[in-house]
Amino acid sequence: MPDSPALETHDLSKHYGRLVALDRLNLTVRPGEIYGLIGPNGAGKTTFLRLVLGLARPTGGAVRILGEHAGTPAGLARIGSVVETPAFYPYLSGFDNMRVLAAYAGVRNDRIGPALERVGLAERARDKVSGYSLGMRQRLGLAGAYLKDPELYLLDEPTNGLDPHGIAAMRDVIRELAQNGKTVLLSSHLLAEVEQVCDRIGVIHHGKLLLEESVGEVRGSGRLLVRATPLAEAAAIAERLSSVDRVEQHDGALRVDIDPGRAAELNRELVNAGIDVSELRSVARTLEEVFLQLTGEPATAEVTE
Amino acid sequence: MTGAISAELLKLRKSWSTWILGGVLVLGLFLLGYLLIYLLVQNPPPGDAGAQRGIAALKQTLLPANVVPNVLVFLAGLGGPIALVIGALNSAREYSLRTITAVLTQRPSRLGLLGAKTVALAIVLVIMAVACFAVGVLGSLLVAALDGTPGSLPSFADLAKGAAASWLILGAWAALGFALGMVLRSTGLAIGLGLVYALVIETVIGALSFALSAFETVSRGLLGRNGSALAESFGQLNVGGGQGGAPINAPATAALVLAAYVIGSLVVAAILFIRRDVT
Repeated sequence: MPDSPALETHDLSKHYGRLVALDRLNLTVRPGEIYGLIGPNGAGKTTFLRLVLGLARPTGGAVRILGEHAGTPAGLARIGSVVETPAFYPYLSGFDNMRVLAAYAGVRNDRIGPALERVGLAERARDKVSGYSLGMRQRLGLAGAYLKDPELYLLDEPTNGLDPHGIAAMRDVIRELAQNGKTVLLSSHLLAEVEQVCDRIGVIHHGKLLLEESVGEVRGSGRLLVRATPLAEAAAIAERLSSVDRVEQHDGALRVDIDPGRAAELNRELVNAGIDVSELRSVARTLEEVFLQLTGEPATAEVTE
Repeated sequence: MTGAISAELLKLRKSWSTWILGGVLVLGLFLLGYLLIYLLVQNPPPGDAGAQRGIAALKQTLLPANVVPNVLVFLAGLGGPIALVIGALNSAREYSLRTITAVLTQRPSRLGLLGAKTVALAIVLVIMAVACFAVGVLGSLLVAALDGTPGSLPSFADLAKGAAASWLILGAWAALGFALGMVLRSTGLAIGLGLVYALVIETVIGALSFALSAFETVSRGLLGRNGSALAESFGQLNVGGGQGGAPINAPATAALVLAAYVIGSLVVAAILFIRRDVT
């Protein structure tokens, strides 16, 4: 696997007048991984993708994508993207829209059939796109990304408009891409979706990258479940420890945010204080919990899906 | 860039608007430029001697010898706004449909895409110009046959020169529409403002130029009036029997002004397209 990142940004910034859409973003997507860029609507995810694709120019900083500058034909030839809801020429059929995209991309028309087959649109390929549902357009957008057989896929909210079967199928598609050695950057506000497929995540909020870690690290790090008696006294002792960030009481137990490596220290303090500790273990946090803690707000109403 | 050109041509070929606007141009020429005038000539309204002379002169415009000026005058008039709409649609529709994002993320550079759009538009306008001349030739031969008037067509070189001039006229209007589309990024606004220029501003400044010398200077730079000047250089159709009025510019000057419109419009479109973010 090559060492150089598939995508790398250095202090990437974008201002619209006084509005700071992106603020010195430093993000790295490694080759072959599925990277989830999550954040609430308006966090700057789509702006980020627009900068990466060369659709917008940064106010400051730089982007390197597959070793190229953003928006160069050489780089774009190796990137497949679905940005926002894909738009097509409504007066053309799905097949003709693919012909147009293939011609722009400089790829042969014989790639169109397999791409449409892959997204399940082969039977509707001769229908005009004006009659397509949102989900079908989304799949047609993915077919357009397949045409170039790119190394890197940039997918912006790819499950928008898809029914539950379509969402599950999209999840499989993303996993399959990664299994075939492709790199995927998935931008989404659906945390459950990201949690299920991504290797690493970046949390973006108000244009800033708040966190960039593997999903396992994010979920598994820093939380212990403690069952102890008396609970209130145990909570007070835990709160006094300098290594503890936060203590919550939930369902007759404590949830303590602490480096799991300090679990023995917490246990010792509790036992020395005469507290009966019946259970102390590391618990995985949901991405939603991490997200809420970082941003102080839900991604969207769909965050609990 | 050949791939991008073929993509642009495919879109233009499959777009109903291209066929409708092209059809309006060609059918309009046949109906307004030949059929209606022929019916008028065949059934002249009662009038004085001057009116009768006008009718007779009108008949002459329909004959094969006058096919070049007849087609050119039509294209300089009705053809201009139609070409403007085609140009505006070609650029602004990508923004209205939001397809510009899909196009630019495939591969082409912005300048390459602009070049492909320009070439495709130029090809479509060549086809329209040739189709108009074909209709003009057929119409004039039909009139000559119905009238029993012997008539010969201009030489192929004259027809080719006429077609080239009509291409330049249509091209200048289309380029203006294309630039408006790029500037405004809205199909409706680009077409609306373009038609306001073509139908209102040109007319008002043209009318004022007869009274005020300042407007006369301005009118020398108007697109429509230079198109007319170039068209009239192939032979004035003095159907009114009176003073037709001297062309606003010499033919070479008019052609240069039209070429300047083409280049200027494309330069403005290119600068904006390359520098601005795609929103």
